[in-house]
Amino acid sequence: MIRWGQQRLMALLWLIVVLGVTLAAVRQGPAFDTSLMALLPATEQRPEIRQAVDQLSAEFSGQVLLVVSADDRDTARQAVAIAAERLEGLSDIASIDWRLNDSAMVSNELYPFRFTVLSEAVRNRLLVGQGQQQYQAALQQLFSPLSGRALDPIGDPFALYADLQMSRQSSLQITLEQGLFRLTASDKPAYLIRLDLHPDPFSLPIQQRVLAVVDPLDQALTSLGAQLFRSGLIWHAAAGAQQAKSEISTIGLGSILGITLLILLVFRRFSALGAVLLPVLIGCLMASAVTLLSFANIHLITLAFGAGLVGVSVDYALHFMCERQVQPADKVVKKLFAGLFLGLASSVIAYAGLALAPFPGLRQMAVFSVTGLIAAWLTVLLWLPLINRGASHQTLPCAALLNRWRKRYPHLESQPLLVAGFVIVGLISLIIIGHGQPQDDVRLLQTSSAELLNEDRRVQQLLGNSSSATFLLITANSVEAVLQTEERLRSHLDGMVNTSELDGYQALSQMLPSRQRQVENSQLARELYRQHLPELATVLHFSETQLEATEAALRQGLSQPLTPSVWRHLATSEGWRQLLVSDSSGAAASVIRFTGTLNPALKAQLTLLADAESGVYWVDRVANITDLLSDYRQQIVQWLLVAYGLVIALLAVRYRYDLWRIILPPLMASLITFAALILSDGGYNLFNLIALMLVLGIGLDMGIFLYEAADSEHTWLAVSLSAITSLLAFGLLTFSQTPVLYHFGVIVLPGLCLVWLIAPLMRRLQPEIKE
Amino acid sequence: MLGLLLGWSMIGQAADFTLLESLTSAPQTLQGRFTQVKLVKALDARFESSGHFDYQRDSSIRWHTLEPIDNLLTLTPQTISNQQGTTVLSKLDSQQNPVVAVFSDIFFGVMTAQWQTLAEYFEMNVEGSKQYWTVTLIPIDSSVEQVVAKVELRGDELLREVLLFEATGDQTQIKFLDLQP
Repeated sequence: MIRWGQQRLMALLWLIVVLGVTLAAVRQGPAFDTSLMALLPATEQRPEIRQAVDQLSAEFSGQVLLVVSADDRDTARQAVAIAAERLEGLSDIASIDWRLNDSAMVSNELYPFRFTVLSEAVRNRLLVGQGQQQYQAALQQLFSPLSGRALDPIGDPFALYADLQMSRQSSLQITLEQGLFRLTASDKPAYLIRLDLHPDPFSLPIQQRVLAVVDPLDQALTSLGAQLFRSGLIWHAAAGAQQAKSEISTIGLGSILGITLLILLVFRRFSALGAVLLPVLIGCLMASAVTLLSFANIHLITLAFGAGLVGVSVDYALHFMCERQVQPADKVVKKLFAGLFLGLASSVIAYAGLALAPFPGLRQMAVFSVTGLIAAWLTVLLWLPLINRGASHQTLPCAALLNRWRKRYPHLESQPLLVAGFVIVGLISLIIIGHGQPQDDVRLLQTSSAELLNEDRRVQQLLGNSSSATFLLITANSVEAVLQTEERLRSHLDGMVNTSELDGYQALSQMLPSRQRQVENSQLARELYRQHLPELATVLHFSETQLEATEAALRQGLSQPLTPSVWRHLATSEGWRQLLVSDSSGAAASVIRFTGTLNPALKAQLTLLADAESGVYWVDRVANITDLLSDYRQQIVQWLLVAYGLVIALLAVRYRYDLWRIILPPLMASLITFAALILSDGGYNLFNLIALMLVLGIGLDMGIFLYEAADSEHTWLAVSLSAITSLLAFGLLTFSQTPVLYHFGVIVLPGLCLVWLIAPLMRRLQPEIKE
Repeated sequence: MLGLLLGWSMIGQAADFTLLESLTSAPQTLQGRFTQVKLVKALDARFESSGHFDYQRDSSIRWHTLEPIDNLLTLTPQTISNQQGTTVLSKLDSQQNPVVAVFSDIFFGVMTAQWQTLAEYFEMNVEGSKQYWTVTLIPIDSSVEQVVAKVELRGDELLREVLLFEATGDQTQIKFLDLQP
């Protein structure tokens, strides 16, 4: 009776834990992550590179860009007004930029720096001694009918400021048209609306709120004859969440439905169904909750992997229920404990190893799987005996049926031909695997649809935005040193732009010249005045006082350097500020971003350029991701081997020479499936390998239970049911639209089929003779 | 007369263009002389210049200042180039530079009477008769507003005078003489 009480106490404790963790997770709210970046290792090669990347992606993640376009200007402008009005409803979670008020434009904040910050064209002209041209241009302005700029004969007779303004405006692909941001790169009238989301774009409620406004807006604009294009992480996150949701509901529901039918068919009572599904449910719940609590959001790929958990965790319940058919509950626990424990231990070892790899993606999968398995296991041991206190039932008809079929199955030991066949197939598989080519393509991780990606790319093209995935990182001990390095690099980059190799680039020093360059500029300006001001003054009929005023303005301007701290507070630094990724005492860093697509030759050239300067790095995130996938893959291969080793060591303690009976089914199944995959797909990837871990985990369970139960017919039933349920879970995964899930299913489906077919060959001869 | 007024107000803006187009005609090609006076407020001085011009509707305008400096300004819908003697001082592409595009639009609009284009940047008021009319342009576009306060165009069957009031207080007066379509 005391034991009974203890059991109830433990069950109650477990209930409290489950409720507590779930509540905590619910309070935090669900959040899905689909971004590639989330899978990247925490320790990127250099801290400054990581900081640059973090800063760029943080800036990027909350940014939502909408482009409204139509065939005619009036419709497009009307559409922008409608869009702005509807988006106003999001003003509590986002700041919305769709027009500029006039006061911001009129401020000539750079005017005081007209002698220290020169336009590139003027600077080059003065550098080669062509001050005469600047003088002629100033004269021309005086007599031109096209007075695009205001004359400022005293403050700026050579119109240096007007040139600076003109050059700044032409570097953007956005112009102001009656207050709206018009995109000049679009053939049709197109306007930009920018939203900055304050909260996390991965949060589902935020996504829903934004979608609830933008989706109907899209329809409204379409009926008006206008179009809406979207760009921003939130659309990918929302689409990812949508896809995860729909696949969880089709694949997840499909497998649950299949399992339900199967259980009802076999056990012929509803209580069995509850007993089988309860541990799975608790397992998934706890896995999601703990993952959410420890990682803040769940990655789509983790959820995919989690689907596999259903297949594994249902095993414990199935074994309990099958054995329960013929024995009372407390005896079942006693009898099954060794098998259940070893099954759990081997699976936990296989999954926990993933956490050792320095990749957050794998770590999340490990936490998810291990938590889920342990929770399902505890639920079986603590709760099932309590809710299954009724009398024992009788032998299940299908157990006998399955067992009859299995008895006709050959023994491996008594079939030398079969042994030879195994050896040959195994060797051929090994040879094929040895020749298999790994495929580490970024597209494996791409969960967004091509449509969404194209729309995004289109918006970015219209904006002339560069990708945030490739850039030059410039580091030095001060902002001044960073700017000087940039200016040295830019002379090369300008050469590449002039020969049209490079479309363009954005660098901080284009807006904020180094102090050194500003000194040079002011010398050039002083020289221009010295040579040409007297002539100009004559033409302009300057009085003595006017000439003095002009010279005083020059002197004052020359002593006006544009310092980084002043620049940062100017409105013109908007959109450029984030290029300066760090500025602390003794360490500063900036990035140079590129426009257009960069071909491999150009990338090689930029790499050379970076290598030639100390403190300059070429960062290519896409290439990094490919490297990363390859790293992950190598780590998984190593871990797979280590996991086999550990599991063999653990099981050898108990099974000694009979170990091969347990190891061989998953091993052979893995080898054959993997070889077949390489033959049909021409290569393999990371996710195929992760799937092999699962084949090992589930395959071992089957072997262990069969051995532990001495091949009783109800154990064979449980093993068969577990194989079929796993197939239901993974077989459907093969139909997933998400590449990762597909690559997963394509291994697990045939792998588990093979384990199930091979496992009965391994049974001992003895018990059969006894029977 | 009443019917005419009603008709105008009902047709609204479109009627404005029709009215303007009926007042002034812009021939396919035109050439002539010009004199220009610019009043620069900061210097309290006036600068006179003169020369000749010609245009091909929709394709190019050549503005050749001969006195006191020799300067040739050539506008096409795509570019504005500026030549002093044989040296090209600048060549700006309106596809790449939105500011250039705006001023190219306005100059073409004024010179070749493209009211529809001008309406994108200005609110227009018409006064007078076919014999002597004045059109006043007030900017509605903020980028234009920064530079231009008001433009007045005067003419009979052809444009005869342009008065440009800049935001800084400077003024430019251009008169056209010896016009030959």
